[in-house]
Amino acid sequence: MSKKTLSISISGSGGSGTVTAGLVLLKSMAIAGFYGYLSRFSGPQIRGGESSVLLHFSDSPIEIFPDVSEIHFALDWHGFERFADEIPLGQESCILYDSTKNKLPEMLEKLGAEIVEVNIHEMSQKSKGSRPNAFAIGIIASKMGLSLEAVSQALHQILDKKGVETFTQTLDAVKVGYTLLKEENTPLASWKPSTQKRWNISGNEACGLGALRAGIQLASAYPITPASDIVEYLASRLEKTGGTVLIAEDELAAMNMIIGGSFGGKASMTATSGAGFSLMVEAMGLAVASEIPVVVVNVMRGGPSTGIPTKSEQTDLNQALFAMHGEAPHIVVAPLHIADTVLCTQWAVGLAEALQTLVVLLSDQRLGQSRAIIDAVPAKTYGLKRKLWEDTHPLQAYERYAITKDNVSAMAIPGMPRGQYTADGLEHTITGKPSSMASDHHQQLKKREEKIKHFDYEDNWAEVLKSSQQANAIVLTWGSTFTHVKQAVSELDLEGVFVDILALRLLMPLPVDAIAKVCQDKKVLVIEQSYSGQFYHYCVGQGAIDASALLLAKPGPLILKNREIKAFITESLS
Amino acid sequence: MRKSVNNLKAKAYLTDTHPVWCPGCGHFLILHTLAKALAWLKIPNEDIALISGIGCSSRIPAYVDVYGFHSIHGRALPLAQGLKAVRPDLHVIVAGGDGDGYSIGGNHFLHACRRNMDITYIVMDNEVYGMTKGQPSPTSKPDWESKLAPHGTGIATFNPLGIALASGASFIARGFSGDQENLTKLIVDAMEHKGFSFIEIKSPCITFRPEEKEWSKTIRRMNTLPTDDPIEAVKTIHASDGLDTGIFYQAELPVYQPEFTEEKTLFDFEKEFEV
Repeated sequence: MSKKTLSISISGSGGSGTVTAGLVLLKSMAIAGFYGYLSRFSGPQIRGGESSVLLHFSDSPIEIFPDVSEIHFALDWHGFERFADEIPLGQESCILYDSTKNKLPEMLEKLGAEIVEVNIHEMSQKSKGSRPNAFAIGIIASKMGLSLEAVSQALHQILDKKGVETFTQTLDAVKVGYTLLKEENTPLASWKPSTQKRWNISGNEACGLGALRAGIQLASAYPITPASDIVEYLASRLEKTGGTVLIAEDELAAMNMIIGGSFGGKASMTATSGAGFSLMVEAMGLAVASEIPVVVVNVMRGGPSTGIPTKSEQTDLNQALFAMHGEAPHIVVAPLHIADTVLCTQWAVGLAEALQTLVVLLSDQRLGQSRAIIDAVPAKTYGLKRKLWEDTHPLQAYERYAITKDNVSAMAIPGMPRGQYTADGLEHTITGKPSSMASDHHQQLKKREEKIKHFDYEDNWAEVLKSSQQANAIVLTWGSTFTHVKQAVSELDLEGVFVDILALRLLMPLPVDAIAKVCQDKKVLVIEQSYSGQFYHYCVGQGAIDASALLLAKPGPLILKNREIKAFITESLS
Repeated sequence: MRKSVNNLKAKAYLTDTHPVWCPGCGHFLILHTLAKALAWLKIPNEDIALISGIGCSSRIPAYVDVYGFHSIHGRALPLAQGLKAVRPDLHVIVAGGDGDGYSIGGNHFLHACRRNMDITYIVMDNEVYGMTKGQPSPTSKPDWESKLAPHGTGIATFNPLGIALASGASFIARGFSGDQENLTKLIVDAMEHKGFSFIEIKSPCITFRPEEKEWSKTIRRMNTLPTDDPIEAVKTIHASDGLDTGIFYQAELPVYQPEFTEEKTLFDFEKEFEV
């Protein structure tokens, strides 16, 4: 089997058009019938700082960072050292750069990579009105073997609003670059285009779409990196489908606003990141105690405190599980990849509504802010709805927190005659009347715990991938780490190393028995993006796996590399 | 849905739960006045939402037969605004104390005034934290001595009316729990006002501030008509020693209520992603 992946990176100073060049290439590849994955990295500047994009293409769906960038184009080398960690260059790389004004950084001289100097300045003298990134697009496209037709279509879509002149000038520059280093045997020559209906979507957009599919009608939030895109996506769309976005004065307000909206009968959610999540915790407990359905999306970034706001980590797991005071049973779920974010968000909203509780969805910066070409995500029905009160017995008073068979009580919504009750963060009786009596506390604690514990999560709780032959080991992982584990495991499979994968979507309540059953008689290898192994310790502590399980835990912001995962698995099995 | 018929009696708005308040607490009078005002307004019980935070006064939703939410300390206003945003059909009232509204919830107070949503905010101000047994609140005088502040707080008092005005509230009034006639009228006016209506109600805490019983002698009604001129209002607010009751400011200001359409469907949004 020949290799059908290609990795590209582009870097440059602020305003050089690095990110635009990446987006054009991604779209061009999509139009040409291929799949791709784009991640962007920027310096600490708010605007105008250096930035870089890392692209990974394939003829089948792909959502992993490459271990090595095969083609790197530097529009300039300004601030490149900041990306030395993220842009993986090696002796296999081909590094192109604009030699007009720039000198190759010393750190790259000893790399042993192929170095190609291009004189963009000279080219731009010939083509009027175009920017260096257009030449770069042309040069990269021709090196890849991407058709000019596809690039032209992509440019047309992206530059649509900027007018015909901009489009023509840009395309001319792309053409100049395209013919400059024309090669014969290009990588794409042997790739087969897909005929599937495909989407160009980011993880945060996927979350927004999932919320729309679920029928969210109120989103309230306070801006925070890297979660703001979710609410920005919803802002212009919710208002056109009967919903509302509220800009809160802080995260305390955001969380309480969605509790209010949901109390009013409308499915409500917020999106934040670690620091904002910390501020929301008290009100999350209120949602649990008063049994108001709400969804909190946490797009995790590096912590603690302000941490690394623009980069990824899976380290808010403990907080999502245990941050609340008292005993506050709730649900924690995590999507595994971008398409899964659409479905998992829809599922999360459904669970909150059906079980009248808090659902925390843990995404992360890498998953949320990366963009990919994926197969269109088909609609799915989860059949999860809020149980509403119906006034069928005129002589019977309404009991908001009545004990029922599934421990979910019918909810009255303001406006329903005879349904008046007071939702309360104080412990209460079945009617909602405040009570500090032991019997009421025990009854309500049990109710809140059991409605979640005994619910049938069906096969949505995890993704189980079996190896091609009987495996003696299984990788247990969660969240965005899954895509990298999947890639490494499938490569190992071809090398004759067989391991299964269990990737959890449901983290709380932890499906202890189901995990134990899948992992039975297998060596368990836990892989996660943290320093302390939060996920590992949680699974061991809950009794889902035993302490003989092995752990590969690496903190952010650098994603686990394919070779690191493969090395960990092979060493663990030897 | 068949709406309940209003029998115009204040009693129809009260539950049979007995309040946790101390005998003689000013809050009892506010509870009954609120019920009277609701009866006067003839709003069906189920179309009213009464939202509170934490504190003695915040226990009020359990005693009023409407949809209630006894939430967490300081956060009643955002919860109420979230509700009003998606349920403009409801009459939303927020009630709480001086600690809840001016201290822990201070930031939300500013932004609720600023948004000027069509809700009514009643603060039952007794100048003390009663529930935690007698600590100074933002409206306690700087020289009021307590266990927590043996020499007084030494901090100037919070000026709720001045801050409400500066922050954009469109109806600003002060009432007194002991003057039920005037207070009923204030609550009715506040609820009929379009926009954020704020009533600061002086309500004596006879347990921790027995000296506040004097208020029945010292608090007076203002005999002026409400102004819609903020400059005039600011003068009246700052000239007052805090014992004047009445409407200090009432103006027609833009009311925030999110609007939506149903012009698009999921299909439109999914199409945006298509390659």
